[in-house]
Amino acid sequence: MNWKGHIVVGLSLAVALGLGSIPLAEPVAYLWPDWVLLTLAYWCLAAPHRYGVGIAFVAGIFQDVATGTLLGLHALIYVLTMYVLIENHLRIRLLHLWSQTLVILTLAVASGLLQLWVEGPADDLGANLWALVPALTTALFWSPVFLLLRSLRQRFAIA
Amino acid sequence: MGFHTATRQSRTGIATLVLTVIALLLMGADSHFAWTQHIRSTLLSAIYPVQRVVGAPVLLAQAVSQEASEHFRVHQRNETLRKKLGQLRVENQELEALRRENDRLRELLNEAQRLKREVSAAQIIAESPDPFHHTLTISRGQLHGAFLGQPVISAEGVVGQVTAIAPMTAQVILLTDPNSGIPVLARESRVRGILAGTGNKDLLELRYVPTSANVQVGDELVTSGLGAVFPKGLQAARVVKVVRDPHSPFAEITARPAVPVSRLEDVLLLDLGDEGPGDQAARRAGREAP
Repeated sequence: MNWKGHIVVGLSLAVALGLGSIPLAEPVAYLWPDWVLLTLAYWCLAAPHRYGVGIAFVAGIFQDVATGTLLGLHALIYVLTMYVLIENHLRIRLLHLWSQTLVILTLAVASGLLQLWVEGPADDLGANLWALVPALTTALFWSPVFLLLRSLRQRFAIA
Repeated sequence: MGFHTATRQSRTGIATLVLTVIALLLMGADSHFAWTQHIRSTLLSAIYPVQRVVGAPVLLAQAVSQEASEHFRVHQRNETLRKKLGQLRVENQELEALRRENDRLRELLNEAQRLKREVSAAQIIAESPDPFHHTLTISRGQLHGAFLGQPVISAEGVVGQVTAIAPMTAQVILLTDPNSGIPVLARESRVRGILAGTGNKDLLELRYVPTSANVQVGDELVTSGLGAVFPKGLQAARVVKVVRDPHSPFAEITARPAVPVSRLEDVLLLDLGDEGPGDQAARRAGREAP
């Protein structure tokens, strides 16, 4: 068992959760990426047989609690997106970082739409589509998160 | 290998299915029942330290930036206040000057009321540079009703009299002009004499006072009313020196003018009193010529 690895993964998710619930000024708050999604995506791509939909579910529950959304909503989102990533992790791993960014963008948009569909008023979708803007920044932050977590993974030999 | 992969994948699939169902059930429960609140509060207290630790640097940065912007704003405000203060200082000086002028004019007005004669105020607009002709030019002329021989006073006492008039200005000969002389008397001893100019702006001479007359240093000299130019009792000068030469019939008496002419800004022109215009000739004659 690689306890150090588990601790690193847990800490990275905790930091992502903490980052997600920082009180921010208006303009930044609308652009704040989904750090938990990024972190989960990295670990599920890097070590899918260790960190999978189970940890995604737990992180999602915590995210629901932290952001005050419907309990289970983020759990559902993360379980579904991580399932897609894990099912295709061999192909996605081979993609260039920018192509991976597109994959993350697709997943982030899908998760945003799912969240909108569940809790947003369906008759006013146009205005609420602004809620998808964070999906863009989430995708843009994929590269730095990827590089940071890869250096962590290599240092702690998480496989 | 292929079997293993298939197994793991199907395991992931099953796990996803199960977790999805659980998530959906949780969502349903959360929107319909209250018991999920317990889960929520428990987990919330669990992630509180994480939120606290991760948020600390951000909150610190926010506090610092807020402090910095506040500092900048205070600095800016300081600058504007400094400018404002400069403006107000200038204004204050102007107001102070106005206040002084007001005081002066009020004194003049009091003097005018005390004399119970019509007066008109005038400003000094020029002073003769000639050391032997002590004259002022004032801002009142014929059009304003000034006339030759008109007495000019200030709040402190006698200044002089009008010697030349123009439509808009008039020239005033001062007591200290060598050609000036007005009839005065010593307030205490009631000794009469002629107060004549010496050409020195600070000194006057009291002429035609007998050596035996009881005039002391410090005696006040006031207009006597003789000659009918100046009303009786206006301050004119104060005796500063008395020299009695036994061989001379008159004492040498030096006096200092009551009005410091060099610091004068406003004067009063005394209009005709109750006397008729016939007295005007006498008034002119009252000006002592050598």
